[in-house]
Amino acid sequence: MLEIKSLSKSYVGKDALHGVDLSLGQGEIVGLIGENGAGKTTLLKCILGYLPHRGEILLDGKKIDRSNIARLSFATCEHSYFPNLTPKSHREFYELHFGSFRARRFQALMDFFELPMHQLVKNFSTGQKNQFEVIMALCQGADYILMDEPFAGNDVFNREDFYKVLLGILEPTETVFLSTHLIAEVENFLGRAVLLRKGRIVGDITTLELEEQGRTLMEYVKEVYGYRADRVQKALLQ
Amino acid sequence: MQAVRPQKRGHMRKLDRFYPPGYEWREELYSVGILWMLAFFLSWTYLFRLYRVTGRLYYYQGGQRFLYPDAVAEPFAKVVSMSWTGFTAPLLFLVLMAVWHYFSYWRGTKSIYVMRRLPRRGVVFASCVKGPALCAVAVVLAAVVLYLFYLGVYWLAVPKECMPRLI
Repeated sequence: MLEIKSLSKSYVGKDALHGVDLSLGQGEIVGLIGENGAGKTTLLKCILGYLPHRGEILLDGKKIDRSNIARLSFATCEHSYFPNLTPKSHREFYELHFGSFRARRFQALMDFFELPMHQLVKNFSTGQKNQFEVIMALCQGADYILMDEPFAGNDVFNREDFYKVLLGILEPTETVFLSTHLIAEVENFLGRAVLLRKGRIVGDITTLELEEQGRTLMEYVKEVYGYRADRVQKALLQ
Repeated sequence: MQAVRPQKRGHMRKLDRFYPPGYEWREELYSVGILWMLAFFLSWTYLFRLYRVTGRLYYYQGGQRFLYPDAVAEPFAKVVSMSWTGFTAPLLFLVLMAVWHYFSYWRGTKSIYVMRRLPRRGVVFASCVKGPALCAVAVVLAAVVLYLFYLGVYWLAVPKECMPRLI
């Protein structure tokens, strides 16, 4: 269980996160949804320890440090691969440093997405780079896979393939925490959605509850955000 | 067509482990080599100073060269002193490179995010410092060998009777 307790983060002149409380259980696929500037990336980076913050983040009751940091992986739209290495060299690096690197999964995903093993990653196309970024996060051997808008720049077929592959390969103990704008696309993929607005959690619902309520995720998000469909029309008429 | 990275020779690949992953260390080594060569050429000023020092030990009479009585040459350390300032350049460059290696984890991509998840302590620091430290040792060793060579030249150039006393 990944527990986030009273997490707050301030930048100069701005509060990015206010008292965020959240728990992620094993095997959950959780979407982190919010507008630009809501604090999604900040939340993910605080969990990983990349940003100083107030509050507590525990992994199975323990603070996250060198002894358990490898249980978290991260795929980001900023990209974190080594641009001057080939995928083969990446595999060697990960195998050296992460004892539970999933070599078979890595090979299978590289084959499935037809990514060249011996080409420098910096020479990949944008879509290929995104795919590779996610592949490394999935193959690190982590229990909690954090993704920050990993599919920005991929075409819709690419994204569809990836959702299906993810659902197929994830083990019951692997948790995915995915920050995304693509609400309509991920609706069938997520098991739970957490809504973040101006640094606060404003919604937390499972897809099962949505089904019971007869609502789509998009409808729920619009309701929580107070989105008015007629505001544009009204503004144009004024 | 896939671009295939040319395979490095085995001994060159071993240098990869002293630098951040994927770092193009060849250019850095060439730069250190060039700076060391410039320092080497600058150190030749020692030879000119030694020439002047040994020249002051003699006088000429009737076309022949004679030693001044009780002539004493300047100590080697004094003659060679300023010749070594050039070698600080490659050493300073290597210090800057160690810092640059750290910032290279933010160039192009944010590979620092991977490095900060590594379970083993000190990997980031080691990757930044190992290469420059190794180079610095090589620079210093090469300078020491040169120093010893220049000392040998001093011993050969200065007559035994003109050697300065140690005390």
